[in-house]
Amino acid sequence: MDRKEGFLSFTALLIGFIIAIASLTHNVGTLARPGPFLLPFLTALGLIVTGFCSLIGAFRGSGRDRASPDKLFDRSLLKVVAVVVAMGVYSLVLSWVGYLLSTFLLLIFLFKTAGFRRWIDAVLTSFLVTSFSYMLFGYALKLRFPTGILSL
Amino acid sequence: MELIYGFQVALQPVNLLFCFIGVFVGTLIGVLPGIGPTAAIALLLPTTFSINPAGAIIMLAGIYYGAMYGGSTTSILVNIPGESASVVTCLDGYAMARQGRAGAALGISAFGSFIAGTFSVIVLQLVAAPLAKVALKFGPPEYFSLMCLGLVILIYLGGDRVSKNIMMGLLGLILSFIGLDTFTGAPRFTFGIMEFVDGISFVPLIMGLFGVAEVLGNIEEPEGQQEILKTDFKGLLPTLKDWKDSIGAIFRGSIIGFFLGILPGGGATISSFVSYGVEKKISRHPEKFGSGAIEGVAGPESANNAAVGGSLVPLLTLGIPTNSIIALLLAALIIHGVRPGPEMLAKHPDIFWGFIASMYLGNAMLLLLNLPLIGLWVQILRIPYRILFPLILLFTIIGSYSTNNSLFDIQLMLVFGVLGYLLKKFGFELTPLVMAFVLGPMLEQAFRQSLIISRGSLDIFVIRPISLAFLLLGTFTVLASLLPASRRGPLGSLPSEQ
Repeated sequence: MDRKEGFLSFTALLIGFIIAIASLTHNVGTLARPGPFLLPFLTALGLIVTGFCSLIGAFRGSGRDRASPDKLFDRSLLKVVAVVVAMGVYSLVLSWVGYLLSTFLLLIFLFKTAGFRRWIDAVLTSFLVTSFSYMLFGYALKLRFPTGILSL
Repeated sequence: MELIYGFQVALQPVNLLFCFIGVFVGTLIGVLPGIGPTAAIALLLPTTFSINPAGAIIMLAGIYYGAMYGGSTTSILVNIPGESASVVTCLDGYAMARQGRAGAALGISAFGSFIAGTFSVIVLQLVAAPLAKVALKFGPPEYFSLMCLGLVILIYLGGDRVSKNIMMGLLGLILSFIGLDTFTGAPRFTFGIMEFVDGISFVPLIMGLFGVAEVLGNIEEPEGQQEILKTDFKGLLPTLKDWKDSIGAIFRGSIIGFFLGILPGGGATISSFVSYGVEKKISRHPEKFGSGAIEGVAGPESANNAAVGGSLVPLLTLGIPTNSIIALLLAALIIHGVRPGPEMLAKHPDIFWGFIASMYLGNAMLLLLNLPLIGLWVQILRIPYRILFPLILLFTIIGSYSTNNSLFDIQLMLVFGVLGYLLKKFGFELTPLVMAFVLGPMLEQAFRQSLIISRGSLDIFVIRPISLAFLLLGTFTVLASLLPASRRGPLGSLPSEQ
C-alpha cells in the first residue's frame, strides 16, 4: 500500500464525512426548496467518493504521484518551522507591542534565518525596511497600524 | 468609437501611471525567480483599494502581461525561468545566449511578445462585445453548467493528478461555503468565530496560499549561485534573417496562445509548451531545437503573451476566471464594486474599454522597457533570495492586515500559508482550490436559483440547449481524460500557472 496516498485519501474521507454529517444536522432542504446546507452536503459526498476511490487506488499501489517526492521533509524543515512560529508570535504580539517594534524584531529574525552573517547587517537592514514600510503604508497609503502600549 | 472612448480613459495621467507601474512591476516579477505574477498580484491587491477601479484593474493586469515579458530574461541569461510560462524558453534561449546571441534572443522575445500581445488585444476587442451580448441570454442554468465546465476542464487538464485536483476543487468549494448563506442568512461552518460570519476573506487566503507557501517552499532549497552568462547585448534589434526565421512562429504562437488562453486551466504556461511542440513538429530542422533555434524562443514567448488576451475573454464577457491569476483579477473587480460579465459592458463601459485600450499602451510600454533597460534587469537578477523573502513575507502581512485592519487576517494568512506549503509538498495543485473558492458562491447561487425556477427538477440543466452543450462538453472532457493516451496529456504534467 502507498502509505502517503492512503493517508491523504483517508483525510479526504474524514473531512467529507464530517462536513456531510454537519450538513445533515442542519437545513439541507429539498431539491424543490434547496436549503443552505444542500450544496455543502453534495460537495461532501463528492469528497467522500473521491477519497474512497483514491484509498482503493492507494491499497492497490496504483496512481502513484510522480510529482510528490518520496522524502517530504528534511532538516531544512526546521527553518520553515522557525519562520512560521516567528510569524505566529508576531501576529499575537503585534497589537500589544505595536507595528514598528514588532516588525523590526521580526525582520531581524527573518534576515538572520535567511543567512545574514553579521548581526549589524540584519539590524540595519531591518531598521531600513521597517522605516520604509511604515512611511509607505502608514503615511503615503494611510494604513492604520497598531501602535501598541509603547504608542510607537 | 468605443475604443476611442477607452483611450480617453486609459490616457488619463493617473491611469497611464498605473499602467506603467503595473507593467514595470510585472517585468520585475517576471525577472525575479521565486515570485510569480499570482503572488505579486495578491501582494499588490490591497494597495489598489484606495484607487479608482479602472486604474486598479489596469495596474493588476499590467503585472500579468508584464511578467510574461520579464520571464524570458532570466530564461535566456541564467537558464532559470522567471515564471512558469517561460520554462520552455530556457531550452533554446539559453543556448542562443551561450552562442553569443543573447541580444537576438532577448530582442526577438520582446518583439514577438509585443506583436502577440497586440494581436490578442485586437481579437479580444473584436470578440468580447459580441460574446457579451450572447451571454446576456444566459440564465442561472447556463451559468451553473458553464462554471461546472470550467472546473471540470481545469481539473482534468491536470493529467495524472486528477483525483488530487478533484479534492482541491471540492475543498475550495467547502471553504467558499463558510459564512452567512446569501439566501437565508443562516451561518454555515463559522464555529462561533465572528470573523467567519462574512466568510473567509479572499486576500489572506491568496496571500497565504501563493505568497507565504511559496516562500516557505523556497527557503527550504539551498540558495544556488545564479551564474549570469557574461555576454554583451549588442544586436538587440533582430536582423532580417532573424525576422525571416521567426515571423511564422510569432504568428502561429499568437493564434495558439489566444485560443488556448480562453480555456480554463489553459493560459500562458500550456500555450508556450504547445507552441514549442508545434514549431518543432513543423520545422524543417527539428534537430536544431534545444541548441539555439530562434523559433524555439519566438513561438513560446509570443504564445504566452497572446494567452493573456485570450484568458481575459471569459472574464470580461462571462465573469468566469480561467486560471488563478484571472481569478485574482475577478476578485479585484468585485472588491471595487464591478461585476465582470455581460453586464459590465453596459454598466461600466469606461472600465471595459479603458482596460482594453490600456493593454495596447501597456504592450508598447513593455517593448520600450524591456530592451533599453536590460542592464537594469540583469542587476536585479543578482539580488539574493535571502534579501527578498523577508520582504515578501512583510508584504503579505501588510497586505492581509490592510483588508480589514484585522490581526485575525494575518493569522488566517499564516494558516493558509502552512496549508499551501503542505499541499504542495504532497503534490497538490492550488489552482483548482482557488478557482473553486472564487466560483463557489456564484456556482451555488446559480444552482439554487435553477432549482427554484424548475421547482426541484434537474431537467432544467439539460432541456436548455446552451446548458446542455456545456454539460456535454464537460462529459466529453471527462471521457477523453479516461483514454489511456490522454492520461498523461500532450505534454505531461505542466507547472501550474503561477
